[in-house]
This record gives sequence, C-alpha cells and structure tokens, in this order.
Amino acid sequence: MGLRAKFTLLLAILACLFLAYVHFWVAPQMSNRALVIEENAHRAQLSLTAEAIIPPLLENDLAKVYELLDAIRYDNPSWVELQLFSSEGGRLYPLMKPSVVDGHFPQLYLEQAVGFLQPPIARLQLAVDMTESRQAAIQFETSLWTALLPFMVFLLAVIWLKVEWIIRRPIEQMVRASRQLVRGSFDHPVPSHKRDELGELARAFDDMRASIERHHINIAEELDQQRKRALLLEQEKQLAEFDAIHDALTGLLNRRELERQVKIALDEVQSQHWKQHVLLYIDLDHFKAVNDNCGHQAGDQLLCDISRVMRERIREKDLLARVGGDEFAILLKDCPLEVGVRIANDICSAVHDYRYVCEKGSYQVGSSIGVAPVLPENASLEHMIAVVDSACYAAKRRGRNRVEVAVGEVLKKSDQVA
Amino acid sequence: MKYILILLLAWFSLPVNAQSDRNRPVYTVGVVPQFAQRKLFDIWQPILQALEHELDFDLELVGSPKIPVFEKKFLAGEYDFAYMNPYHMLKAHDSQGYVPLVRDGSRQLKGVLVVKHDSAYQSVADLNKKIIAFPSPNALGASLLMRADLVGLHDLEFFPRYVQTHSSVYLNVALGQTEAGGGVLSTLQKQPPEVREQLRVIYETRGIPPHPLSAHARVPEEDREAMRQAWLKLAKTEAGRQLMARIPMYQPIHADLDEYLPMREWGLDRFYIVE
Repeated sequence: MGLRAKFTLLLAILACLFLAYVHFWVAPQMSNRALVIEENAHRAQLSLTAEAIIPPLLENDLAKVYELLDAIRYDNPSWVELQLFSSEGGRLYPLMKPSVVDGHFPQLYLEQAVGFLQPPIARLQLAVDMTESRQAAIQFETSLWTALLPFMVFLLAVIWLKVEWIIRRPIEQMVRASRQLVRGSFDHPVPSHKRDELGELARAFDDMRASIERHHINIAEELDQQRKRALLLEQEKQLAEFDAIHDALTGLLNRRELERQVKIALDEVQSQHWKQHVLLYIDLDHFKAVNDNCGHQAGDQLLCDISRVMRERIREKDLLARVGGDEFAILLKDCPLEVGVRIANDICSAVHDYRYVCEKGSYQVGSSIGVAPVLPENASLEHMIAVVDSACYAAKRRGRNRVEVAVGEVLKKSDQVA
Repeated sequence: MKYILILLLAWFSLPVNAQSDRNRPVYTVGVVPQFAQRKLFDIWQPILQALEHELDFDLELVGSPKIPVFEKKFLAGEYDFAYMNPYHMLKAHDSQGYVPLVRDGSRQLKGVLVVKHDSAYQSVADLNKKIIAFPSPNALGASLLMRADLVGLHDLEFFPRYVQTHSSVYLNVALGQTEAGGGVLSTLQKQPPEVREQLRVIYETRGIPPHPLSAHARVPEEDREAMRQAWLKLAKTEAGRQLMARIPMYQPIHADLDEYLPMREWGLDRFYIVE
C-alpha cells in the first residue's frame, strides 16, 4: 500500500476517532448542559411564580392567584400542567382536576414550596413538556456538527494535500528516478530544488547517480577497449595458429603440421586396420635454375604456382604441405595405394607440363615423387618419413620426373615415364 | 372703506366669542374607584362631555386611586357631584348634605349567599359557626348587607374571611376553602361557567336602590335640576343609553333620598370599617 493510501487511511481513522469522540463524549455533554440550563430556567420560573403568589395567597385572594397563574401559564406554553395545593393538601388551582397528561413527550416534573418559612403555605406542582428543549438541544448539537465538520474536512484536506505535495510526490519522483537508473537512464528529474530533508536526499541521490554514470561510462569504455583487445588478440592468435601450421610463402601446411597429421594417420591405421592412407613426398626438379636465373622472387612465385597445380589434383580432405625449400608432401586420406600412385603420376605430369616464364625465358620444372602407404608396420613417424623420403630419393636417383613407390623395403617401379 | 373695516373687526371677534365658555362655571364630578382609573375615565368622560352640551356649566371628572381616600374626600365635600354607593351616599348626606339626583331603576342592590353546589347547606341556619368568605368588609352588597342580614335578621354566628374580591369569594367557595361566600348577582353572573356550575345561591339579602349620582348641597338648585334633566334626556337617546349602560345604569330614573332611608335601620355602620 502506497504512502498516499496509508496516509489517507490514517487521516480517515483519525477523522473517525475525532467524530466518534465528539459524538459520544462532547456533544452529549454539551446537549446535557443545554438541557440542564433549560431545566434550571423552568425551576427558576417556578420559584418566581411561587414568590409572586405569596401576597394574594396570604390574603386568600384566590382570584388574584388564578389571574397570576393563568398569566404565567400563558407565558410558558411548555408548562402543560400547573397545580397549586393548599398546606392541607387540597387542590387550589386549577378549579377542575386536570386531565391525565399522556406521556408521549419528554416531561420534567418539578415541585416548589410556596413561602420561605416552614411550613410552606402551599405547594406548586409542575409538569413541563421538554420536547422543545430537547429539540433545542438537538439543534445545538447539530449546529456543533455543522460548525465542526466543514472545518475538520477542510483541515484534513489541507493536511492531506500538504503531505501529498511535500512528501509523497518528491518521494515518488525519486522512486521513478531510481527505476530509470536501474534501466540505465540517468536523466529523470529529482526534486533537488527543495530545501528540506527530501531535497537533501534528492541531491545526494543525484550526486550518487552522477557518480554511477561516470563509472558506467568508464566501464563501458574500458569494456569496449578490452573487447577490442580481445578481438585483436583473437585475431593474432588465429594468425599465429595459422602461421604455426602453415607455410608462410605458399600457405600450405608446414612440416610440423604435416608430421603431426602423419602421426595421426599412423595411429589411425594402427587402430582401425581398414583405413588406408598414402603419403607422397615431392621433390621439385631444376628448381634451383629458376631461382638462380630469375631471382628469388621468381622462385617463390614458382613455388606458389606449383602448389596450386598440385592442389588442384587432390581432394579437399587431402593435405598438401611444403616440407622444404622445394619439397612438398601430400597426405592422401582414405586412399588406397593404387589411387595414390595414380594421383602421384597425375601430379608428376602436371608439374611437368607447367612452365614458368620470366624475362630470361621459359623454364620447365619436374618432380620426383615418392609414394608410401601408411601402414601399421610403420613403427613410428620417423620411420614413415624415412620410408617415403627414400622413395623420393629413389625417384630422383632413377632419373627424375617420376614416381617411385615404397612397398616395405622393396621399391616398386612406377608406370610413369617422364 | 370704513364699512369693510367694521365688518372685518366683527368677523374676527366671532371666534373669540365662541371660546367664551371660560366664563362657564365648572363642577367637579367624583366617581368611586370601582374600576381602574383608565376604565373609569373611559366610561365617564363621554357621558360628561355629552351632558355638557345640554348644560350651562362644565363638568370635570375627578377621582381617587383608593376607596378610603375617595371616602375621605367626599366626606370633606370635595366633589360637587359624586357617584357612589348608597351607603356612602347616606354618610355623605349626613356629613355634607349630598342629595341623590338620578339612579338605575332597573334593578335592586342585594347580596347573595353562595355555597358549593354539592354541599348539604340549604338555609342560612345550616351555616352556624362556619367560615364565610366576603370580598372586603366594606363591600356593600356582598359584605355589609349580607352580614347585616346574617347577624341582624338571622342571628347567625359565623367566621368571616375577607378574600379581597368577589371572584375570590366564588373561587374560595368552589374550592371548598370556605363553606359559603357573600357576593352579588351581577358579579356571580360574570363568572366563567366552571365556577358558576360549582355554586348554588341559598339566600338573598334585603334590597336597596343602586348607586345614585348625587349633588353637594352647595350646588344651586337650578344647576342640580339641570343636571338631572340633562341626564334623563341623554338617557332617552340610544347613544346616551348605551353610554350609561356601561356605568352601569340601564334605566336612569329620578332618585329620591327617601328610597334609601330604610337602610339606616339595618345597622350597617357596625360592619363598616373606616380606614
């Protein structure tokens, strides 16, 4: 329940309490007092009446007594019954016994002795109709209410409005500003213009919010920086990773990576005997000539071209690596030996067909390719390398531009004729 | 020119002539204060004014606040004409020579004795040693005539209680405060029905003629007579009769002293209190 509801409830309870207090305590007391005053007025009037009739009564002038009593009764319309009794008890006034007064209205019964000495010379009895007095008392109460109620309502309304204006609204404003702050907005106005405690709170809140805002900005900037750095690092890492396994010039895998892959292939065939992989070693022929005649740059260019040539003849999943200056290796995955030999021959002829042109002329390079199946018998990576390398060397020794296959220790002649 | 002046003079002197009643003699008329002065004035002034038209003299209404004072004054002869009850008139006659001129011929003055209607009293004798209420000792019909009869005629022993007014007498009897009360018929008839219903008349006194208008001996015979005639003449007019009925004098007739003399024998002095 919000402040407004709470405060309104409080005011309502206070109002009810006050009204109950007035209704049950104050008003009855006041109207009782008013009634008592009225009663006393009647008593006083009766006392005066008693005194007025003393002289004629002492002279037995009953006509004068009647005249007086009739006149006084006429002057007091609420005196419904007035009787005078002699000291012996006989009724002296009125002449006829009065009819029984019906009790449908509130009555006051008074008795008054006539005469100041004892025994009294006569006795007055009076019944007063108090309805008018009661009504006067009620009217009095009503006027009390009509006087109090508007003022009380006005007072409560003023208090309520004041509290609403001074306390609740600024607090609500600050609550909203806090919520906006949670959502990241620093602009919501706060009642910092006030000069009371709420104003101080608002100003403190504002300062705190500004401080948060500054931190927020700093953190955001830092975060941004960190993110950029991380991105940079990531990129560098990727580059480094790339560089780690690739040859800088050609973009082919490097020796280390190839050896790692060969090792994996070895492990694979050892554990999964149906797997067949083939390793090719390719040594370019007459590369040096180009390098010497056309320059190192030309040599580099040639290597790149040859890489492309070779790349085109192998599948996506086959790995092409540059393992030396002019030495390449290809790991044919899931490839039977015959297919590998065929591919090797393919490559050999492709390389043979390739011409490099520079200003000095057009140059032809060839390739000596050693082919070795990756077999479980190959005990280790070094052994595997040695096998394929010797196959390559065999190709070179046998005239270049040819393919030699290593089967166990026995070299097999290839079909390819350069 | 001269004729015009004389005419003017004659014309201007006329109004002066009309006011020459300053030369007329003035007689005082004293009225017994039966009622309050205002009421007295209200009743008598129109009558006197009407009478003046018929007379050569003027009449000045004078009064006294109280009956004893009035009595002293007429015993001193301060009034030229006086209206008072027969008993006073006789005393006035004896001391100053007042003579009655006119009186009401339609009735007689007498007292009545009332008792409570449901009481057992039937005659005066039943009231032996009882308390009887009277207005005041000197009330003519209710008290003087009544007591004169009760004592003089019936030899009754009783205890009088003076209750100031006729109305009081009737109330006292009606309320049972006294066994009987003395009043007069005129006041009894004026009582409200609830009082009258409670009362019963058991005795009426001897009667005498009512109040006369009298003249002091010093008033000349012709003026006395003029007054009487003017009065009787006024009484014959409707307006005059209505005025006089308020005194009350319903049928003014010539009054004679002889008519009042029997009252002397009744010994009323014994019951009268001189204040």
